[in-house]
Amino acid sequence: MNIFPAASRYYTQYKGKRCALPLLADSYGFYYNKKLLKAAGITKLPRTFSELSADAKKLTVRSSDGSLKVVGYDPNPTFYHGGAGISVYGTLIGATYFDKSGKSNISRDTGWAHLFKWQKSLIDYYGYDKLVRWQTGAGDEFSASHAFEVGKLAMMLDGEWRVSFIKHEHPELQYGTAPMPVDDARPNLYGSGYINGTIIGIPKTGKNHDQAWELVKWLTTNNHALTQFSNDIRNVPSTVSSSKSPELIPDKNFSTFLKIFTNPHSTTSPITPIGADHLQTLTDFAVKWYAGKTNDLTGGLQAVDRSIDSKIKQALKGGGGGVP
Amino acid sequence: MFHLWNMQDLTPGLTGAPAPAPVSPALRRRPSKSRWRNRRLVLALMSPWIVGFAVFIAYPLVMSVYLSFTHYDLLNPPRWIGLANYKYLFGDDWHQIRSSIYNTLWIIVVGVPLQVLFSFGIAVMLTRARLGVGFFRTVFYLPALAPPVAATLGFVYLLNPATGPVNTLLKWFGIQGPLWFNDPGWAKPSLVILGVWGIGNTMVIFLAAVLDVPRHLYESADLDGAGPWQRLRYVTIPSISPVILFSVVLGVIQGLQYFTQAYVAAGVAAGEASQAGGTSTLELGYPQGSTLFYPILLYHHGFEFFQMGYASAMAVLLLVVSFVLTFIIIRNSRRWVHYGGAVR
Repeated sequence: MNIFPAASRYYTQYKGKRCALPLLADSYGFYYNKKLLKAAGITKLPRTFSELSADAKKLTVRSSDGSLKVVGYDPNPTFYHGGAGISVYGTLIGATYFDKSGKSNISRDTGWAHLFKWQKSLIDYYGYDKLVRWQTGAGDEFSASHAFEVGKLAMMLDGEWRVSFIKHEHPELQYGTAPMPVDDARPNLYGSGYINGTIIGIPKTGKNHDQAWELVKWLTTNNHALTQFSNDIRNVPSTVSSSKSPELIPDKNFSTFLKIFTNPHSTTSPITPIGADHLQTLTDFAVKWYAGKTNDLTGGLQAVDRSIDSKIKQALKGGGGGVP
Repeated sequence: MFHLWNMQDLTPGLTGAPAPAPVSPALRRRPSKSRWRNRRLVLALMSPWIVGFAVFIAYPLVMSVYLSFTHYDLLNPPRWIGLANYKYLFGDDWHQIRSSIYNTLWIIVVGVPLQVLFSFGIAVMLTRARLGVGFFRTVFYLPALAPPVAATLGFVYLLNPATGPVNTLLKWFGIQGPLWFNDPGWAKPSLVILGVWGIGNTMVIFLAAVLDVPRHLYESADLDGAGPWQRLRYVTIPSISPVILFSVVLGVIQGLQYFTQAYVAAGVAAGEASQAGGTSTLELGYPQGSTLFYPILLYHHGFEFFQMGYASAMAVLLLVVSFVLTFIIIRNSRRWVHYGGAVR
């Protein structure tokens, strides 16, 4: 199993029991518009959240009425971010979600508070309502009107697939990729990123298990098969060796994500008896925090912990858990 | 033609007819056979409905009640956990349930009266129209033909704060339009506007009721010197009060089941282009929980996180609340609903 990075091994098991295998993966990194950065006089890429904020402010352009024309960086995880939401930031702060006893740990892990304060400060710089108004005109995430692709968003966090989108939709765009900036308190995490991906398994009640296993094994472990698949849909090939295969079509922007995929600090979100409900609970609080509907960060995160713990307790009633 | 009951058979002596003479058991069997034949025919004709009711209503209802006492993840067999789901619903999860109940009550308390008012108002206006009656009836009815998802997508587009035609128009007059579906304070009112736009079906029922008010009642009111408001207050409204009751009951039940428009609007306004309604890791009831209606929370538990036992408990609560609200409305309606000469 060590042919797969730790993050991919993790999200295909539950309580140590292997449920599936990774079949291609997504890794998340940093995209920047070279032309806009150059015009703003930015020569060095940001490596921490505070550097990212400083650059975002330099890149932001407002109209005469104060509305946002170009946004430097939008830290609201419910906007774009490939639908992965707040979990993509978990890796960048070295977050823990649960303590050793399995209790939700979000209010006690200082990384989350750092993250929320940083996000809120940048959102406040734009003005929450102004940022929301800009988002509604920013174009659909999976369309050629995507804000980054048309120059309305200077920097963003996104998955490796965007490389192919840009190639097909806006080949003229001058952009680059890099690892995403990280929490100022955890500079050693630079180079890592959030990982998730598609998985493949064999139904317990299905027929022809042996033949099915041959196919699954070939699809998930054969480097040639993985690299061909990766070249076709531009997702990350899911074994460590295939991510370094010479068969991959060379692309400097894409290779950033191959490195993030195999970085030892790269992580995914925890598998729980309540599926992704813990992330939902955290996000429901986060959006109120961003909007300024609550000023009590500590109390809010403690309430999130209590809610997650009670959901898990409920899911384990009757001697079992929900489907992860 | 056939009949189910023969009143003289059922109530001998009560109908005023002379009591039948005693008959022998052999004679009694003949009409009994005929009745049995009729009943079989009735059963045969009703069987499609009976099968449909049993399969699609009765069975799911019974199963929902059973599953509400279990932990059921849709893949493994349900496990009996007694009242745990209900304790969780009224305990640790109550803050979220309460929030969804508030949103649901809001849409009922604000949306239903407005829909009834607009349906009735447009119906009255249409009865007064002298020119283009057919055209206006068609125009006001047409929105009801739009599929809910398509209509909602259209409204999210129209009310897009940055690029939508409504805010663009407001901007021409120097007004910065609201964030509509992207503002927690405006999201529910935007859904109400969408609901009022699509009142065609209710409007047609009101139109038929208003047209059906006997002319002589208006003539009597005129003779008594009643003005337009008094004719409306003392003739039209009492005459159509059964239709108002029908619309209110239907509106409340639909409000308790409010799902499609809110689910689609929240997902699309949140920018989730890939799937209207969103993934589990994004915000629930965008924006900021303002469109988290009870059925959406139920769906979230049952079909996104596979907590079908808990979702069933929520469904049972919804059923009970629907019954109670309908009972209260119908009970109170005796004071203001007039059925004329009809027997209730």
